[in-house]
Amino acid sequence: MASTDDKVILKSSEGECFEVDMAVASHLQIVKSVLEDCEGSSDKVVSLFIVEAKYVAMIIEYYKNYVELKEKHEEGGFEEKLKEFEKQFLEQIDKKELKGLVMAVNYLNAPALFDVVCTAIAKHIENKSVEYVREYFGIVNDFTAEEEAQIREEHRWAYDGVNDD
Amino acid sequence: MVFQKKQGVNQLIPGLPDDMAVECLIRVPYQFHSCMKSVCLTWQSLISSPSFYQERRKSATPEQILCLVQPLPADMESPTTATGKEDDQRSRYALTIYNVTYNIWQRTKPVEGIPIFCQCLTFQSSGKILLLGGWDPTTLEPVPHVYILDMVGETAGKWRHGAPMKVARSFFACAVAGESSVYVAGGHDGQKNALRSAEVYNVDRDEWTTLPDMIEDRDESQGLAWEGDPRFWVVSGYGSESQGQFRSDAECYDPVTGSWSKVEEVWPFASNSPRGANATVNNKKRKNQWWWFLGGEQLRQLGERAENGDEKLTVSSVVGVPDWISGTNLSATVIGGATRNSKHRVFVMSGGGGGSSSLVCGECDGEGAFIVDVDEKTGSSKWNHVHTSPGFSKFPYSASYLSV
Repeated sequence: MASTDDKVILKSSEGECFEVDMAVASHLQIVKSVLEDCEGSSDKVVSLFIVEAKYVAMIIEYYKNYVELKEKHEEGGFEEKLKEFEKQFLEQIDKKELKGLVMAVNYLNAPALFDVVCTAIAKHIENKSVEYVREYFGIVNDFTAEEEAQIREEHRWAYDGVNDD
Repeated sequence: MVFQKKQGVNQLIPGLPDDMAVECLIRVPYQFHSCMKSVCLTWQSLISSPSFYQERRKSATPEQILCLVQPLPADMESPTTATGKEDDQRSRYALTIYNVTYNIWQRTKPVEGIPIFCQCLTFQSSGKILLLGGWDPTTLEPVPHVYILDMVGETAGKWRHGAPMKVARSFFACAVAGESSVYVAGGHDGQKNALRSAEVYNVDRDEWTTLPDMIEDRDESQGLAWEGDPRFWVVSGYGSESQGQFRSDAECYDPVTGSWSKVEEVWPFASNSPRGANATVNNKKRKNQWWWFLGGEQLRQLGERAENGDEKLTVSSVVGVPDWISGTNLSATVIGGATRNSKHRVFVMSGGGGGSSSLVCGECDGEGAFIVDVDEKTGSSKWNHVHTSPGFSKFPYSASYLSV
């Protein structure tokens, strides 16, 4: 049993299986607790009933790189390298997938990636116009024209001297 | 069920459960929050609720903000009067909001401006900034005014008036103690009489209550209070007859007994005000610490100073200020509240013209600002330069910290 300790199989909602190093899978709290619950069993399969295969793949990709980078940059520089990778990682994910990924990561309880994905969604609000935000998230404007004009006036910060940083 | 679809127009982000949408929205930087209120009704009510900011402090990284009462740069004074020569000698003030997290310098004031030398205090739990007293910018008479700027909630970003102090005063001691109280004591009135009167403001009830007088008159005294301790301390100051001769004693108001008690030999520098260059620090193990930021002559004068007994006001640390800091006054504000460990960050500004240190960038109007990393355990302090945007380099008369 000890020899198989370092691998675990994650099964997606479609039944697709992913063999993953324990070092990677242990970042997913749900996997950890499932394995703890069935300690002693030789069956190292964790069914992620509601997570689609494409999200399982994304999450594994993220944590595989996370673990590798951490090992490689033990002496320092890990955080910068991780940031670089996260940028690349997010570029290949579209708007709809981003939402699916948040839900998947939330279910798997993986704090580091949860923060990354939530921040990525937040970036679509930062520095964007109200119209862009509504469009991007598919939010219906439920203010009346008068209400909206009033709100914008009210919430305008009367700041001077904003710098460019 | 995690994936349960809550269909309906009221979802914060369509297609995402609300608890996860909140997790995303709390990660948007503070400066965009007012804009987010204009997106839809559900966002408006979310961002307007104090719980949004509690959530933000809990699971996202809240932003660190310093509130500084600063004179406006010369070219921005009296913007409406091109002729206004008669105003030239008077400084106009505004409230600077320095966002430490994003390094953004901004300025705000009520339409009529803020009093000169007003005191700035903050309430973390309700996200409020208060400006108290000071001088009318035109008449230079002390005023009892209270201005409140809400940083969170429905009225965020708008200035309003609080109930005025019972006594118009300037150069008084003040501090926030407990959940919702502001203590104010001493200072001087319109006839330059040093005051011994004291009062307390309840910010939730918007109400001032007169306290018993202090034992002494104390103009230009320093107010102190510590998180988790209801007492209010007033250090040094001077009476009307001995102007500029700073007392060495302090007084402590205990709301439990409702009375003042005196503590001797607290402030050793008779020719210097204790205001500004000190900070109250708390950590889990060592509570009620009082730090002094001293340089040059004062630091040498101090030498070995015997500590007072337990129940008295004691200086727990003296942080040496490097000689290259060129300003004569110093304003020190601790960034962040009580910490779990021994490390603290303190924002320091002198308003000096800039010395020869390689730490100073040379692009600031003066020497800019500094953040000192102090480790209680090792006693080490590391000075880091903070670039100040043009027009933000003057000495902050009063400063306070808030996280949003």
